[in-house]
Formats: sequence, C-alpha cells, structure tokens
Amino acid sequence: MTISQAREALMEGTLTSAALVKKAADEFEADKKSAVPMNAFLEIYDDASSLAEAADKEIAAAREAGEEALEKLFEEKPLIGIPFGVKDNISVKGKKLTCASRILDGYVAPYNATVTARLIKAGAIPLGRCNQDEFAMGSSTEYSSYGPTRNPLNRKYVSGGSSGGPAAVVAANQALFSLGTETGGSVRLPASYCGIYGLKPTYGVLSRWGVVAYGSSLDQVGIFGKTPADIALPLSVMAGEDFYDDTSADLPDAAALKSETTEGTLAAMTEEAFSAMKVAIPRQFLETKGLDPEVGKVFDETKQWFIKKGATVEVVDVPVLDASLACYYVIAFSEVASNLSRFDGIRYGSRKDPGEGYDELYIKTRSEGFGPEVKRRIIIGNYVLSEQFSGTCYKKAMSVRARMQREIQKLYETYDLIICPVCPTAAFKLGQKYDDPMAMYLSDMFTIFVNLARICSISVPAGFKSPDEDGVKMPIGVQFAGPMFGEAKILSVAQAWENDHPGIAVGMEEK
Amino acid sequence: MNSEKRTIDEKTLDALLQLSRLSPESTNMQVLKSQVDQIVEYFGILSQYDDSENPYDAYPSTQAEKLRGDTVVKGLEIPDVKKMTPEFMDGYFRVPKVLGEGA
Repeated sequence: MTISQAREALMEGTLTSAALVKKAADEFEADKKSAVPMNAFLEIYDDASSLAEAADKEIAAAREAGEEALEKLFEEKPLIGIPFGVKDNISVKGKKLTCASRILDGYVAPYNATVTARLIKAGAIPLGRCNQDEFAMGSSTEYSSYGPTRNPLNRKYVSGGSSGGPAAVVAANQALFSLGTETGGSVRLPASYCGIYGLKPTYGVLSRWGVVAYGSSLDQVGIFGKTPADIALPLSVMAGEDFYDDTSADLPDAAALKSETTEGTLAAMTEEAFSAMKVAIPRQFLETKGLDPEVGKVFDETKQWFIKKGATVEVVDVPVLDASLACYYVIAFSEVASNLSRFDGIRYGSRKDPGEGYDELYIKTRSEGFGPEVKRRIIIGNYVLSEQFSGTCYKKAMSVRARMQREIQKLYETYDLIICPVCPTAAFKLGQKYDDPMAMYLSDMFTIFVNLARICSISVPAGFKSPDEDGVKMPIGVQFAGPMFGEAKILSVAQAWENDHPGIAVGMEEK
Repeated sequence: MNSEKRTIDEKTLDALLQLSRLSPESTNMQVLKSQVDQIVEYFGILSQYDDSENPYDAYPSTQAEKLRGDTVVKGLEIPDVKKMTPEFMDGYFRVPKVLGEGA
C-alpha cells in the first residue's frame, strides 16, 4: 500500500490508522519470534496505537461534519493517521534513542527532532524505532549493538546501511514510509539493496535539529518510500528553514510538491522536458573495477530509457571523482572524532565509573560503549586531524572537496542530471565484508560525491539480479542526482520512471 | 601528506588511543593497526591532487551558510533533561569527585 492509497482509504472510512499500526505491531512480534528475524524495527512505540485511535476519531468527526470539513482536515494534516518508522538517531520526545550503541543505553530523547515535529504536526504517527549501523557508521547495518537487520527479500543478505532498518520496514510493508539519515550514502544504499526509493535531499533542506551528529558538514535526513510520491509528500511537510539549525534552508518547490501529492499524484516529467534534458554519466564510475556486470546491465537499460524518452545522454570526464572516497573518509572521520567526543559518560546514556577520576571514567565508558567500527573511525579521525602524525591530510581533503564541489556545480551548468549506479554490486551476504573495513567502504564509491557536493539524489529501483541459489532476485538501484535544491526535478524524473515501470518497488505486490 | 607508504608505529597508536579516550585492552591492537595502516595508506591518493590552486575553503557558497542572530529562546524542561542520564542529582549532572576522599 502507498501513502496516497492509504490517504484515500482513510478518507473513505474503509481503513483505520489503528489497523495500520496493529498490522505493523503484529508483524514486529511475529518477526521477533521467527527463526531468522529481519530485526528492522527495534521497538514499536507504546503510544502508537492510542495516537492512531485519536487520528481515527478526528477523521470520523470531520466525516460526520461533512465533505468540506473532511477535505479541510486532510489539507491541514496531509499525513493524518499515516504511521512512519524512525531511524534510531532521530529524536522522538520521550522515546529511547541509542544510535544502536551501548554507550547510549538508557538515553531518552528530551525533545522532538524538527523533522519528527513537522511530521507529527502534519498528522503522521511515529510508529517505532528502526535499527542502523552504530552511530550511522557502516554500509550494511551489521555494525549494530542490536545485531544486523537482514534483507526482507532473502535473510541471508544484508539490508544495506547505515539506514538498513528504515529501508527494510518499508520494503517489508511494516511502514508506509520512514526516515533515515545520510552522511555518505546511508539512505540510497539500503534503498537500492531493499528495492525501494530513497531520497537524499540537498544539504540543508531538512533540519538536523534533534538528529545525532556524525559528520556535520555532510549529514542529512533522508526518506524511504515505495513510490516517488510517497517521498515527495513527507519531504514537502518537513522541508524548510528551521530556527534551531543554522544550516537549514527553504526548498523552493515544497508547496508545489505538497499540492501535487495531496491532489492526486506527483507530476511526472513531460516528454517535452525530456527532449530538452541533458544527462551526464561520469566516466570514472563506468570504469570502476569490481562493477558487477548485472549492475552494469541494469544501468545500461536505465540509460537506454533516458535516450528513448528523448534525453541527450553523454559520458563526461570528472577526474577528481577518483579521489572522492579518500576525501570523504578523511573529512567524515575527522568530524566523527570531534562529534563523538561528547559521549563521555557524563551527560548521556551509559556510564562506567571505576572510581578513579575523570579520565578513567571517560576511557572505561567509551571503551565499553563503542563498537569496533566506531572506535576505528575515531582513532583514524584523530590521526588525520593531527598534523604531528599525518601532516596536512585534513587540509588536502578539504581542498579536494572544494574542487569537487566547483566541478560538479560547473557540470550542472551544462547538464540537468547525473546518473550512475547506486553501488557496484547488489546486496551482499551477511558477514561477507564485516571484518574488512576497506571492502565495506568501497560500497559507497558511487554515492559519496553527492554528499561532498551537497546536492540531491534519489535511488530508484531499476532492476534485479538473476535468481540466487534460493531463487530470489536481489534488487539493483540506479541514482538520479540533481543540482542543489533540484528535488522537484529528480522526483519528477523518478515519477516518469515509476509511470513506465509501475509497481517496480519491492513490497508493491502487497496492496 | 605525501604519497609514500605510511604505517603507524605502536607509539603513535598508543597516543591516538589516548587522544580518543579508548583503552588498548578494549581492542585487538594487531588487527586494529593493520586496518588503520591499510585505510591511511588509501588516503595517499589525495596527494595526487595539487592543492596550490585549490584552497581548502574555495567551495561554492550555499544558502545554508548564513547564521541567525543571537536570540535567547526557552531551554529544555528539567524533567525531560533528567531522562538523558541516570546520574542526575539536585538539578545537575553528577560527575566524579575530583577533591577529597575517593578522588
């Protein structure tokens, strides 16, 4: 079921919000008891049912008052009664927030994140907390203190990361949409592995107030859905400047996206617009070693779709992209070392006090609280920030990033869109890369230029691999990347894709 | 940073653990050292880019860079703040003693 189908059914009275929440809660309980749990939701919030019942009463009262009152209610609260999943690093007031880390055990969010508050204001129901890689550091959701989130299609495989939980709950029809976060591809990658749509908005479009920081110059909240419209509507109600986040900015097309999605469906890019469109494919990504031929084939089919629609598609040379992975990890690890220094056992969550003084408390709390990947990144972050040890590594990375931003911005003066695979392979098996951090980092090689350049990009379900030994075809995603604040454009292209491939997302077969 | 192969010796790793407020006992040092070496070596690709014409702060400006005024707003409610940590007493976060017995 999609958000627009649910909205229509809620308006007609053929569906209740309470039924949507009960279905999710029942599936969560059943999953916990299964032999190989998916482990996507960590908890269903205890007040989700009562909030859903309150929404049902509000809808019933408006229906009783007449058609005009009902329409007014759904205009003022376009997401009324719609439950959504929340990644475990986004604050929901009064609820646990742990970033899937032992160090935040016992922490309860004292306020709502702005994105959460705006969704609640629009009538949406916070349904539950979703699993992730610890502090959003990972590409598979295996680095979680709660254990991995498995892929809904075949539980031998990872769900992608770091927002594996939010992606899996949407693909498994446990939530209509969900919120994740991105620093280097953590929404688009799991969207691709789980076969759904995942949007990484322009840096600043969604406020980060109440979202636990990882790499502050890169972090952004993202949205998972089974159609582009299911992403556009939550985006339109959450987007915009926020007093509490100085890096936030208005999205020029938010009002148009809201009216399109509430009045029917998202407008697809027209044939006329396609014929005027210029699409760039970076040569550096086509020449990547380790690109799965089946991913290459699906990407080629997507390219042909653009050509058939009338767009001009050209391969472009952006040599600086070869340095994007190293550049990203130097900057992200530096920001990790700085941001995570606040977790010292004094103000948040867990405290391990050997009774020997401050330093001993900090060291014991952090050593027992952080997992191996987080420790690795903090240590390397402190290395690259130290000129004594690494020289000018950090400044060099910042210089490469600035150059990349300028070159990508220049590219958009000629081209409307950049397209490329989301990752070199489809989902891999659990444990395959767990002990090999470099192999894990390479999963992000096609996604991180978007974060470094602060542009927007949507992962689109584009095809499937051949059946595996269990007869399951694992999904493959392709990303459409637009310029800063180009969300409306990439969503309209994605809607055109959806119109030509109806119900391509995983989970759409269950209405 | 230059492109030559860079490895981290044990003394540097100890210093990094101290900077990170992490104990050596909490991790397998041999595995950690080889992983850190491998990752740091990969960063060497950055040295191929001459930054003399690319200052680190020469990125395009964005809308997300203007700072708001210094406005005082209402803070969090104390009952909500108390939920952040189990160690909260008399309106303050409890910290280890630094003076007196048991310090």
